[in-house]
Amino acid sequence: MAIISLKDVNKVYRTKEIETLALENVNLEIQKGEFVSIMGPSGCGKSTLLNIIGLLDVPTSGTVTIIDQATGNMNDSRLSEFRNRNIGFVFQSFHLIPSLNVAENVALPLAYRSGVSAKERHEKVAEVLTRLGLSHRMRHFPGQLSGGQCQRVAIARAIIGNPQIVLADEPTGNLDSKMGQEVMDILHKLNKEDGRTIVMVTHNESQARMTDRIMRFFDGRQVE
Amino acid sequence: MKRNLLSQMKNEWRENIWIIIELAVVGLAIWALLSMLFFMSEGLFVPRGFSPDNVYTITTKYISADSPNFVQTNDSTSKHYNDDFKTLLGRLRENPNVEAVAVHWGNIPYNYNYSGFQLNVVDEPDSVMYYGNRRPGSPDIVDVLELNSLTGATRQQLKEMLARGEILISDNEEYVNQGRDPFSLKGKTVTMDNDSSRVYRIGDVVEKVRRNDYEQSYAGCIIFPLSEDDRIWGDIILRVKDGKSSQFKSDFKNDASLRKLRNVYLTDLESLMDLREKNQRSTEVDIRLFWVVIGFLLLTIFLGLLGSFWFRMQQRVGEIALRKVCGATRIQIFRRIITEGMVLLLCAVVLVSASVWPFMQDVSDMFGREWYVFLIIEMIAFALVAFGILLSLWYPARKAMSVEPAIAIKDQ
Amino acid sequence: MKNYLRQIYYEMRHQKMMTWVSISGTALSIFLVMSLFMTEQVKTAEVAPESNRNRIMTGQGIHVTSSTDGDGSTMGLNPNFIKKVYGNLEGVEKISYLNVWNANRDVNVKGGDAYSMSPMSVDNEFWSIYDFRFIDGRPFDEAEVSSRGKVAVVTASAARTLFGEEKVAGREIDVDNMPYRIVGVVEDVNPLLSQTYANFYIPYLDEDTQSNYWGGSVVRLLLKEGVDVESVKAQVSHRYQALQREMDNESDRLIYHGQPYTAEEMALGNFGSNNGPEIDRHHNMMMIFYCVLIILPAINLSSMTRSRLRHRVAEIGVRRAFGAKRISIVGQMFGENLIITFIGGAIGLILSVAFIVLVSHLFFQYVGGFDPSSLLVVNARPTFNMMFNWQNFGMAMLFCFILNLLSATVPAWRASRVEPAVALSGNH
Repeated sequence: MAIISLKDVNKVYRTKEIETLALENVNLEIQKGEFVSIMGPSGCGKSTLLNIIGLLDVPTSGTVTIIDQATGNMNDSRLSEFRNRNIGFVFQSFHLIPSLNVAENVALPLAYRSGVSAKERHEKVAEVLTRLGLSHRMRHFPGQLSGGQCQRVAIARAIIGNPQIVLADEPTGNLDSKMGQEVMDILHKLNKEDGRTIVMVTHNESQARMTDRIMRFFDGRQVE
Repeated sequence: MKRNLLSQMKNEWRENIWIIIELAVVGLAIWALLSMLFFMSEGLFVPRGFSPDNVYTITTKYISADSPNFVQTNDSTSKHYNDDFKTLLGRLRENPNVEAVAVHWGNIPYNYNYSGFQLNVVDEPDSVMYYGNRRPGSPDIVDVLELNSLTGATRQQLKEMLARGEILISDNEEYVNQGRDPFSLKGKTVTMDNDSSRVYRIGDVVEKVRRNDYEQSYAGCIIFPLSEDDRIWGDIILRVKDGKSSQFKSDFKNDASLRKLRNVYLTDLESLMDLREKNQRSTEVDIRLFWVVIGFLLLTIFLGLLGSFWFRMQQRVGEIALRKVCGATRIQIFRRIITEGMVLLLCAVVLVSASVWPFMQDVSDMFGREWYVFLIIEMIAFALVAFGILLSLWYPARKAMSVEPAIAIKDQ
Repeated sequence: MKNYLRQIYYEMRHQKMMTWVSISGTALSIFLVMSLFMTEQVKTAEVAPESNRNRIMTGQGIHVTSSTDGDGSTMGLNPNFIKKVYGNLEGVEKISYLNVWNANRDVNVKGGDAYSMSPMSVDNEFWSIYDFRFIDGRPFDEAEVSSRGKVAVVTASAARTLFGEEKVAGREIDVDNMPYRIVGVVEDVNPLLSQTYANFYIPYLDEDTQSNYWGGSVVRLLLKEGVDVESVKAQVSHRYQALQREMDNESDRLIYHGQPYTAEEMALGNFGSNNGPEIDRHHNMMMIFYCVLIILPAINLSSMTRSRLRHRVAEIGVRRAFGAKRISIVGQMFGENLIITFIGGAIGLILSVAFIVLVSHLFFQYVGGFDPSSLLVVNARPTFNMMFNWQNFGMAMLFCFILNLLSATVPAWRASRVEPAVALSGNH
């Protein structure tokens, strides 16, 4: 059963002067529990695709179905809630909020979910950070951490809400190879142990080969 | 470089529009406030018609016959009141520190009384009239207030006119009808308030004696002669010799014979300067308030532009570094930022001028001033705003000058 | 909540210049607005002895113009005329007569130095309309007023100046060489309280005049609790019109400019023979003034807020990605801004109190009789009670809130509209 399904998805960016076709007729299905990597040169539309899967962006035409739900006619607040419950994000540049400490950054998705008590939140933050080996860094601010640590915090944030889907946009792009390997190990663990579906954009061929499936894009089209 | 600046400013148009609106509103407000300040205080720069330094007022009081302090005399009450009052006047005149002593009926400068009277010229085919504020005084009032003739008469001559019972009028065209000017009334016989029993001759034309330093209206006046030989029941106004104020004050305090004779006593020695301070207070309070508001508006501009340009400077650190790499000097960077502020100001000036000048005719009619007065004040107002802008851009511009290209580009 | 405050603190420290400009901009405008509020407040504050200030109305002189030559004069009223116009009005609890002319008098103890002091001639009802605090003795009574008794009530400072002590009831003074017996001593009245300030009080003299209306009196009316001033004005207006008709054969026209005046109208002060207090015009001017005072800083703060938010677009994107709704983003930005506004507001409020206490004497108009150079030492500064009340404080808070609303709404809304995908890409 497909957890993510895109049918005839097109995405056009329009400015006054030019129209850019970012995605052209994309059809894809990702099964529950799959670890999929998306590859392609810069500007091929892979980040756009990830944004569309993550419901951060809407396609110009076509349908996006996530966990059996058609997302086309969801309004903003419905989309927000859906993202909050079902999708976790990991970004290349971490996007931690500099003015919040590690625990607060990690707890962010729970802040937008109703019915989570402070105690519950504390417990979850501690649990997730312990799992990622960062429990001693809870009170630190992002500026005091190394890149690898930042990305692990970002991963902790992505999974604290227990989403079925984790989207990672070049999660190792800003890291050296040793740290990158650590992050990849964690993602694999999340996939194997928790059964989370992971979609990762990457430039790293060897990392991609370790995933279940590689989708290649060129000029907005899926070529493989 | 210049076109480059303008196109960059265009890219930030949303921010700039607000700055321009702010500069325009503040400029307009300062313009209006400065105009009002100017109209309120321009009176300070035209002659007052009198000189208030060294002038003192004294109140005359009488002990009434039913008071236990009343000193019994042989004369009738009113006769001895008058005789004793005249004796006291004489004693004041003899005091070595006093220059001149006159009697008045309360209508003196810095006292806001307005006693409106009209003089009707007798034996003229048209009914020619002069309106003015009647200021009764005995002849020495000329020396006490230092009144000035506009026809070349000496103060001695003015005093003689008042002593002869003649009236002095001030140069006050607006209050003469039939297109006549006050000088043409000199020497004419007039009646007061159409009362044919009160006939006087106009002796001379003197400077307007204004009610205070600011107000310019109600300045047309009729110096009305009081004779000290009559029973005049007046208060006293006197001029002390230059530098002798404190001596006179201590004389008046210590020498009881200067203050009291039987049932007449003099009290409340007050300098005209104190009276002035008290009575001009409300105007001065307003003027102070206006300056405070102008200061506030300038501060608002200062803070607004400081914040905006600080932010821009931070946003443009990379760009500034690049310019430096490409050979821009520190002074060019500085100048560019200042120019940007001045272009914004120029836009504001154009905006304000375009929206106000179409109504300028009405405004200048309303205030009875020529249009160029407003133009000059507008220039001053925006010069003040420009000053505020310079102050606020100083710090961000200095910061921008000191950007180190190598570090800035690496950070980017 | 704690996290929330800590993040704000962090952001404030991180963006020092923006924080500094925002806070001082807010402080400055709250300072000015509160100073104005307080200055206005002093004119109408209800402090002893004028505790019923807003229920007291004043009927003073009228302007009479002659229809034959257009000349006009303004003078006080005579008691008969006052009775005709102001007697037995509906909604009026008490009526008090006072003399118009209160030129300074010479006051001395037998054989002692004479001091020039400001008098007020009042009837016995005066003491029940205002709540003077008696340090010694009592007010004068109806019998003393109607018999024109030579009695006086002096203020504490006058008593100290004349006798060197305050408990002086029963002692004698000379007022312009007439002996008066002191029956009471009251606490000093602040010279900003225009209805009651004097150095001493003596009985009102009911003067006989031949004129139909002119005399030397003014009148104060104490309205019953909850009575609308307009209803009293309407009644008086009615009576004036009737009187005008009555004397239609005479050539005079009575112009009374909407008397009796409220305390606020009296405080406005800039009315003379030819115009009454234009309270509506004053209010409109103040409204325009307040609007300028609110809009200019709002523009500034708005651009500050936008700048601050631009630094945080990525953060907003992250929050949106993890499920924050637009409204919660707006709410957060709003709240943050509100806190900065309130910090600035608090500083402004403190500054304005300090300002009023320290330099307000440069900006107030004192009662006519008050002589700052007088030998009598009277505290002429406004007291804290005169300036401050919770209503004012509420106004300041409201003002902060409006400032916040104006300066944060648009930037916060715009920030929340940025598409998360765009916000995260860094190409905003």
